[in-house]
Amino acid sequence: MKALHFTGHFASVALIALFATACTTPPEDPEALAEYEEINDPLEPTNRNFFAFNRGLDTVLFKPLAKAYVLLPKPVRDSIHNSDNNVKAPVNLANDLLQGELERAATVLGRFLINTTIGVGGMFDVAAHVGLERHNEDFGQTLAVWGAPTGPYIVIPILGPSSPRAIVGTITDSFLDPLTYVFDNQGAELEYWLIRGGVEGIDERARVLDVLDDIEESSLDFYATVRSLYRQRREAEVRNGEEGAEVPGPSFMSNVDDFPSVDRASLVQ
Amino acid sequence: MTNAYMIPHRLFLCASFMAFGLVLSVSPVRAEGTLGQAGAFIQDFGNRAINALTEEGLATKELRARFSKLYEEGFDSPAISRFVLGRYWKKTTKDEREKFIALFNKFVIQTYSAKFRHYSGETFTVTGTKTEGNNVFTVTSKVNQPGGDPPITLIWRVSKTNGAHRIYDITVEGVSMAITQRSEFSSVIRNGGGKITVLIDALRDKTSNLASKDTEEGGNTN
Repeated sequence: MKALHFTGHFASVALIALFATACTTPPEDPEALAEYEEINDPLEPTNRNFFAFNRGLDTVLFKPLAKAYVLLPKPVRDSIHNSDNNVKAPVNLANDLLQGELERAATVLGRFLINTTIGVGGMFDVAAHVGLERHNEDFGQTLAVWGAPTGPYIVIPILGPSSPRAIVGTITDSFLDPLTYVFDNQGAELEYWLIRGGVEGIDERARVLDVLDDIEESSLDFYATVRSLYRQRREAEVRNGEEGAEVPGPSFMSNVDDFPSVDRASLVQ
Repeated sequence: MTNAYMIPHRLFLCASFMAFGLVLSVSPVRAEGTLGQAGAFIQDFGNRAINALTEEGLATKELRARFSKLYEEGFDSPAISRFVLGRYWKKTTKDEREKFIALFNKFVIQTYSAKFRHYSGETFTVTGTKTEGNNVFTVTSKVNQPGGDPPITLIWRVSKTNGAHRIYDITVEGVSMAITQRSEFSSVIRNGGGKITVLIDALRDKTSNLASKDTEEGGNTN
């Protein structure tokens, strides 16, 4: 299976390259060290370089594509968005089961059946109207539920923020996806992954056009902001939207001299 | 595959126009009993905020003035300012703190008031209140989006001191605004050699950039 070999080779080469290049040394001051470990971004210099590269690529390629995509009528974009979600149903289902989330698995199955039939090949999200909301599962989240730590923050060229756990998750998901095998039989597996990845990427990029612009314009350190957003979103996805890290109450915050360097909330950077 | 754009857009849609702001509630005001005082406070504050901040043809200067008033009224801005400096707060001098707080407030008003320009008819409903402890509450709300996308979950953390409710954080789809801001600021300080003056300078630059941008556009964005 060419695409899997390709992904595997790419991931391992990228990982080796990343670890071989700039790696920050941990600070000695115990408080600074605690913060360094919380942030868990030992590859920050390299990550920042890749992040800058991605922003450049976004400016010249992805953003213009997304802006063109937005010119398509909304029903068309919605049907692309819905079909893409529908095609991911087997992967969602497998991961829900692997996490023991039987109710969510049943929702995925119900959505898939309803949307593929009544929803005409997944183009219409009919299931949402009957209360079966979509959700996303991937093997990276499954690994998290099984207790695997996320690993250091990694920015992958083109693909953006990630982590070792997420990378392993993506590769494993390609094994879980039946369409991988379908296209492999026709020798078009790589094309399938590239086209689907491309379409999904443009669709998602279009959905956050204004918002990302806003965040970028108002941020002092866009890299750090994206890192924090990515991390918090991943944690929220793993928790399936349940209560998570909290900001401590003001009475706690107002004990200025007692402010600890490591608190529960700061564990989610 | 994971990339920055895989973060669901709904998070950003909401964060982009609301962040610390609120949306009109179209549901009838529930009896205070079910939602508690904190929940009722959020619902009411939200109504007033949206009415004031999404008026047609509002000039930027006026938008910011109104936002500033609401921010001072409904948010625990001293506590938020302290929180976002994190472990560096106790390393600041009094002078640095004052400078930081002034600039941070300006920064919040500029960046978050602008997000109300993107308002496009979203509706907001408080769905529950939980008491977390000593006069600290968690209010959950849903923002319904026009266009059929699933609703966004917003969690408000509210404290009650001297009888007044104050918001000290908003979490949008699992992302806390206070934590995100603190992450960013501590990164700026760290990369500046641990000096808070680096952050203060960066804030000064950013706020004056944003201010001059508005002057260019004649004070009326969008």
